[in-house]
Amino acid sequence: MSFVESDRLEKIIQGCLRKKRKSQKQLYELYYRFGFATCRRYARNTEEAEEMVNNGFLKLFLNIDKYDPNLKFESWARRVFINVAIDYYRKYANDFTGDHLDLDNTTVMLPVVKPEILEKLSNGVILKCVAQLPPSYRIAFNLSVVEGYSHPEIAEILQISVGSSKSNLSKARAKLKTILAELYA
Amino acid sequence: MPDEKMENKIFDQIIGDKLRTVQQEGVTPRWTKMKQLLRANGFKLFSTWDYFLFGILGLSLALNVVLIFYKPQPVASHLMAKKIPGNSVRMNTFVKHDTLVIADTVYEHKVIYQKQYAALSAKRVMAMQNTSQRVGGKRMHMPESVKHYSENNKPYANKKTTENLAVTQRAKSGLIYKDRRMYKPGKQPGDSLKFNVPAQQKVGVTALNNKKSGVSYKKRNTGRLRRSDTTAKLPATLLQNKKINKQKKPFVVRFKLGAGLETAFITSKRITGTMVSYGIAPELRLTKRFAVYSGFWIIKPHFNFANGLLDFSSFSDVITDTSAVHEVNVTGTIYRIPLGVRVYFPVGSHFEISGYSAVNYLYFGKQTFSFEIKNPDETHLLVHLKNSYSGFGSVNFGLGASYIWRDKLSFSLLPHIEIPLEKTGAEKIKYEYFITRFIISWHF
Repeated sequence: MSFVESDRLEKIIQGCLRKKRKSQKQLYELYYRFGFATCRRYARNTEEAEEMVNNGFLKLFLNIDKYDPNLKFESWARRVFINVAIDYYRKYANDFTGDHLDLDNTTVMLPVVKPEILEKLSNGVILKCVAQLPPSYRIAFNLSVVEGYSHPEIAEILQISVGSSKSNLSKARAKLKTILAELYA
Repeated sequence: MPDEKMENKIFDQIIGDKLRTVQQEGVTPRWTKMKQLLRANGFKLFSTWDYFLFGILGLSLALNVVLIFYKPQPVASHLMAKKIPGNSVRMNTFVKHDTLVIADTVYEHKVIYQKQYAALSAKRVMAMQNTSQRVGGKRMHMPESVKHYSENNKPYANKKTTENLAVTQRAKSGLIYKDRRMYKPGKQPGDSLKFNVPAQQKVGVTALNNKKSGVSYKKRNTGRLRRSDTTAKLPATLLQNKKINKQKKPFVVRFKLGAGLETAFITSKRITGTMVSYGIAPELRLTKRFAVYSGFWIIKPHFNFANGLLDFSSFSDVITDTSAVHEVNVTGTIYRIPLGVRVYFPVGSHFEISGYSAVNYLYFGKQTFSFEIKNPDETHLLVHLKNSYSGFGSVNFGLGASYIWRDKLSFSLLPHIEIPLEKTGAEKIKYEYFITRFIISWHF
């Protein structure tokens, strides 16, 4: 996935390195949607996502000199946005008062959502359902399911244990299934 | 369990694929918000180079605005209001753009006297020593100062003493003579001028610009000159004439004030002139050729060298103008003389005048004039003036111009008038020398 020709992107990045406002604007406009889509998965709503995107771009402009041109810019930018989203989560962790599932103490049977039903669901609906997850679950779920990180990687990123990572993912999945089941009940 | 794992895997894959492909079509970048965030985090709106360019641009613009709208203040205006006692040449000259403005209304009385005497021949003046006698069949009025001097053989005790004395001396000796023009057509600024004025030319003074200034010597039935009639419109009127302003070639301004004569040649950018100073006795005329290229140049030292010493007794009317304090160097000693100080000096004196030009358009410079009074023979005095200039021109950012000014001045001296010193009533004073206050401004 590339939003711009490599030559042009290189020029823009060079401009950003010289802290040229024009280049920064160009990069911002080119990668805003990309950044928003990334952050939206981690955010509860669009306002949070917007804040994360802007913080992400700020971090990106501040650290553009650390970008390795041999790597794909999108990958680097995605990582920046994810980190910003995680930082955001950490910063406002106390504000997140999502109802955590205590699966250990519950005997509720988890609903089964059939793949056929899942396929019929639109992307937007799924995104909204994911957004309803508590932050810790949402992040673990996104990192694992969407970004493809392994549990040890997630544990390192979130600075938690591997067990916690597995637990969070499992709980996130269970919660999501419940939400989806309620949606189609 | 394997079923559950498999189910989870399928669930994750479907959800993951759907989340990855979520389109954010309705989202619009908000650059303004981002810009504020950047600014708040130390990102400058413009680069240092941009700020530098803006600075240069702003400075240039400001300077050009100043140059366009700035009109030089009449520097001499505050001086004009001061009446200088004695026989200083009372002239305020300043150039406002291309117009030379001379304001001299406060010295009207002097002009009147001058013109009155101008109408008199030497014989008549001599005859005037007897009060109110008929001269040439006409009854003449004798000014109080002349009357006083003739009766008491000493100057009239008022502020016009020196002037009156000077006039009286000339009147008594019949040595009022007609000034020769010192303007030589075709001369360029910087050229030296030579004047050949025969010594002791015994002719009546003709008031200059009589026709143009509207001065008329109307006679009443009594035959007396009416002072009101002789109230001359000063050359300022002439100079403000639009014709002169429109004149492209250098024009000559002649004006006569007191016993001095000043002639200035003015072009749009340069002023050259002839300055005449004079003394009590013997009358010393000094002409100076000058060219001023920038800034205000104010010279008004009145030197008083009595027996080689500076006489500060006549400081009564020191013009406070710190912009032009001059130094006089007499035999190696530097005297710092404020403007307006009167100095007498004997023949053989050598001195220098140096002063800093007033600042105008970032102009700085120091000028030094040195000249020596020589008396090679009995009839001629020579004044050699050497001018050295040290300074630097200004760099004008607005115009992007840089210039360095150097100039030379040359003085030449007109023949003096022989009057025995003992007749002057001021034995100790050999010469009185004046350098007229000369204010010149030059504009782009």
